[in-house]
Amino acid sequence: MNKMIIVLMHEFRQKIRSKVFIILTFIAPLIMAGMIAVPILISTINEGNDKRIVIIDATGKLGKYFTTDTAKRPIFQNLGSGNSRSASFGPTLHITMIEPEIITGNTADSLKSWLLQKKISGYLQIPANAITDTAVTAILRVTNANDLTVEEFLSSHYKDGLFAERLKTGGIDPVFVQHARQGSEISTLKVTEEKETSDNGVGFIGGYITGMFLYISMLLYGSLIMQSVIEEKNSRVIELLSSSVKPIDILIGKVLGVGLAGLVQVSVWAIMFASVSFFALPAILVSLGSEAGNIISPASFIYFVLYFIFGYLMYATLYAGAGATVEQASDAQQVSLPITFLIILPVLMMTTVIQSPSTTSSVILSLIPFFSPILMMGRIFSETPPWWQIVLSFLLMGATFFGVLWVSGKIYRTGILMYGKKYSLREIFKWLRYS
Amino acid sequence: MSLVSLRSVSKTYGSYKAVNNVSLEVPPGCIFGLLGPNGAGKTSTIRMITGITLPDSGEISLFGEAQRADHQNMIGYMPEERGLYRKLTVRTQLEYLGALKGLDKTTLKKNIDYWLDRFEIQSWAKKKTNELSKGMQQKLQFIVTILHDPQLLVLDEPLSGLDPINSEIINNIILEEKAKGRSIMLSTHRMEQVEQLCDEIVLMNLGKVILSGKLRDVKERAGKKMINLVYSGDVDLMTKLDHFPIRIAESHPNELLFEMLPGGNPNDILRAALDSVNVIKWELIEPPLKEIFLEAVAKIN
Repeated sequence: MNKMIIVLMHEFRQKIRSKVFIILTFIAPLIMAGMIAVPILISTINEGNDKRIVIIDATGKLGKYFTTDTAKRPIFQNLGSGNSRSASFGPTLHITMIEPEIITGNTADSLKSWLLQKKISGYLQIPANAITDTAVTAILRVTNANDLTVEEFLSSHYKDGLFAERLKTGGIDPVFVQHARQGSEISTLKVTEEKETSDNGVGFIGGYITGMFLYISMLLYGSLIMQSVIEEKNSRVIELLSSSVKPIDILIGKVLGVGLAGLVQVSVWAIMFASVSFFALPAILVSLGSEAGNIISPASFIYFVLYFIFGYLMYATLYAGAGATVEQASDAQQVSLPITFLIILPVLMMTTVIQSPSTTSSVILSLIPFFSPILMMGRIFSETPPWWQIVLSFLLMGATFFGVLWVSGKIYRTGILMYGKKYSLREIFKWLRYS
Repeated sequence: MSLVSLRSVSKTYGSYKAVNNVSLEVPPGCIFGLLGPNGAGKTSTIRMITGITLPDSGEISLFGEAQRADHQNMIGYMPEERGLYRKLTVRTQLEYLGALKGLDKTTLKKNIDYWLDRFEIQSWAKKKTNELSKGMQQKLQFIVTILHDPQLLVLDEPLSGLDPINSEIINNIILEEKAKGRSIMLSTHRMEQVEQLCDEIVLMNLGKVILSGKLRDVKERAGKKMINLVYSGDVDLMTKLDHFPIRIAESHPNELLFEMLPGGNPNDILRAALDSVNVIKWELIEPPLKEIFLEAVAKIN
């Protein structure tokens, strides 16, 4: 059997059998799920935390606009103000109306003491001339001025009520105005060769999530390779190995073996993600106003796997070469920094590229081989690039991989036998010329 | 046919000439000593023979053919800096490193069992390497070297760090392999090991071969007479003998090792010694390799 294959199989078996690998395979998705679930959970917990608001409406006309019971709300509720979402999560509001007649000095004082004793969360005073006089303001007194949900709710309902009541005093029918303002929204359609879909930012989210995922996995598997190279050098077993196998075969076998294990791990994650999304994702996407097929189309999944493989090959080979220049795991960070920087750069550019995927700078940046996996993937999600750009990116990445393999192979072959001191970049460049 | 043949081999690292125009031949069934102080170029030479590095110039033939990658399967190499996977079990370690020497599964299993039995570490097969004692790791390292039944064993400082029991076992295996017609090339800077084991030697210094041949021939060529004198008596014997044509090689309390220089008569010296001390031992000996070596180095410098 080819010795490179023996190295490959050994690395693969060792990786998938290691406890860390197994734990990571099954724990990482849970952590990811947790990162999504926790904020939702927290807001759910908050819901039980009721807020009591007292409204003193001196106009006697606006109170009805504040009811939390949507069915009983007069028209104009939320019309045009666009913050209907403010009520979707967060605390339940209990609103108590108090007739202005009973407000005396004493009542005002007791409201204040209730507020300070936390019996109520706040009270809103609407002056009697609020409808006629545009200069007066209603005053909300709270202990926590940072609770924007309460303020937003009250303010939007106050505005709506004020608007409707002012129309009435001018003799205009609010129902007519409501009718006149209906259907005034623009809906965005994403046009591709095959179909038109409403995107609503799903492309952005998809591009961003895959970009982050590619970034994390290239970093993770790259440093795994690097650790493994350093470990073999540090334990001196590398000299024994290279008396049996050509260093370049060790390097390739290692990169492919760990890569294969990585592919298994990513597949497990993909299956978990797919099964979750089969049940949960459609619901989430529908709430965003989009179609599930948009984000998990087979084509984008295939692209994702291909960009993962090419990105991994380039970076893993680089990391392996870098690993061969040091003896201790503690020195790894120093030499891997420039490579890590190469992975982080496209993450920083990702947002801009996804938002304007077809500008000259986006096209050029996404064709730079080291950036292609993350940036081209982002472009595919937001606005499918011309096919030739995708093909070109693969050709460039392939060529880069062989270039990196040549350089890393030379550095690796010399580096694995070098002990005793730290090597400067200039010395390492000299290794490239060794026969 | 020589198992190993180097012709004018040189290797340079940057501006440092590690191996300078070295030629040597290792015949079959021979224990071959590659000697020299640290930095003489022994390990660099060995790395080229084992195919880890390539020579810059010169030719290497192995087993009668020009050096090829698959010759690595016929060589068992034990590096000076011992190395094993710390986290692999003994058996996995042997399986991996054996497979890399081209062994098929059946032979691999048979050989692993044979050697684990031979070194009596069968019960440790499932233990991780870093759980083994130092002595057991040494055994494992040697099994890795010999597992694939190599034609040529290349051992870099084989006995350094070994406990007496392991060095006895390994000495015996080296002699067994020699009897089978295999050759063993060992590098060392400890001359006394060489005198016990080696048939042929090459002395290296600063990348060059400075002496080579059969151990016996090398010693005869040196042609020096050394006398070892052990005595008792509270006298400074050295000053009593300093008018004789001798050169003191080693001086210990109540023991002298000296070389007869031309024109000297051993009997005169013995008589002079008997006059002042009680002579316990008077021995005419062959020159130790160390002496020959130091002299050869001095001659070149």
